[in-house]
Amino acid sequence: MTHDPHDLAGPYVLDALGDTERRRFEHHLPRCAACADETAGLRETTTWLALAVAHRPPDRLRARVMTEIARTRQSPPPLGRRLPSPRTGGLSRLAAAACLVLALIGGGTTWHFHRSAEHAQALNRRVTAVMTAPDAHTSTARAQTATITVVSSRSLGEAVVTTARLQRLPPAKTYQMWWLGPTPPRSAGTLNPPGRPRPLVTTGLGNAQRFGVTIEPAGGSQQPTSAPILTVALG
Amino acid sequence: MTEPTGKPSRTLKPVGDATREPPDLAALLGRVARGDQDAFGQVYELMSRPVYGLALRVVRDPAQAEEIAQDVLVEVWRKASHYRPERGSATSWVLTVAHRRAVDRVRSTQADRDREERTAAPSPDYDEVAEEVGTRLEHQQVRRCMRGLTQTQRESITLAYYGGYTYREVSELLGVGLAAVKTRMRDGLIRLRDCLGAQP
Ligand SMILES: [Zn+2]
Repeated sequence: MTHDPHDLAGPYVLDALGDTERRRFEHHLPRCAACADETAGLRETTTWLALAVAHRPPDRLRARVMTEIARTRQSPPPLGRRLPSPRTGGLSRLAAAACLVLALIGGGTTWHFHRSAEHAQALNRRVTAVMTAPDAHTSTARAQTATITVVSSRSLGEAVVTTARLQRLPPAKTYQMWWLGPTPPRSAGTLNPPGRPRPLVTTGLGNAQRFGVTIEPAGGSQQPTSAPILTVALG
Repeated sequence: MTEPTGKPSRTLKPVGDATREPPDLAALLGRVARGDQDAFGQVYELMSRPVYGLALRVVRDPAQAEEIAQDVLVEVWRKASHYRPERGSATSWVLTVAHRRAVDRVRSTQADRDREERTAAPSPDYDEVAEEVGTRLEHQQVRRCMRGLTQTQRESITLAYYGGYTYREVSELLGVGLAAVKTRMRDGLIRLRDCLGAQP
């Protein structure tokens, strides 16, 4: 039996885990961007639940607290940390967004991309732009042989494409991506032989309605020469 | 040496995400971390009500709630330098400390009889406490958004967050499987987040 901690974010932010499970989840959190991001988001939601029941304490509390802090030694900042500075933000959200896509294409196989600064930094700036665009739209299609996830932004005219479980092709063949409808198919580039899944950016989204992948002779084709192995509707 | 930074005691705005964080609290915590007691006084103005109200809601006993609130606020003083903005809003940081403390208290010290009482009244009376002008906005919004949840989502979240029950206990109380409870908590919170996040 495998232990799957990925579904504990809800109970965790509600402080509804027992001690053992809480420790286990806190061990898991820094290693899983999906859970870390979900936890951070849901935590802010529980803050609303707290604010909703705010209640004025007895007036004497203030004096007690102020007296107490005046004689309470402060804990120094943890090692290697400067005192709080203005929020920087951004990077972890990006890593999480990428992880989301990768988790999606992983589907039920629980494949997870782990959080790391290098991972976040390695992501192309254009990937970031698409994933964080206000109009970013995510579509996923699954077929027997492959899964594809497309995050598209009409305003940028670009999409981030990730694939999973694509079969390796003979050297004479290549996967090719297409923008489909309402105009004749337009090439969105070829796909490298699948190895470790990596998001890639394609341009020329325009007003395409669907995104498809075909198998073409190496080097790609002007127009598809076979039926798509996968298509996905675009937002 | 006190610099005239920050405006004290603005009305606390609800925190939907990091960008809506009232600038005051995180900045105040920075000053508190340097030992600024005036800044801490302002932190008290901003946070004593949510901290006390939350403790009161969970432990349901004013004397204990007061104790918890004092512990939590002193903890904020002590650990101000531990707050990490990249991990979430300052409001959320303080209230997480408060909620944990309240839940620990209710789990460790409540007599069985009290537990039974709490068990006997699992109705989501999340709106019973707050009557203050300053919290009306958050209160109304949360109540409205709570109505958008399914009953089991609402019960699961209410029992856990306000009742201090573990999700295993919630599972028993509601007669629902563990997996289902986890899912309802998560889905309910996501729905709440979407609803509350839509607010200006
Ligand atoms: Zn996880």
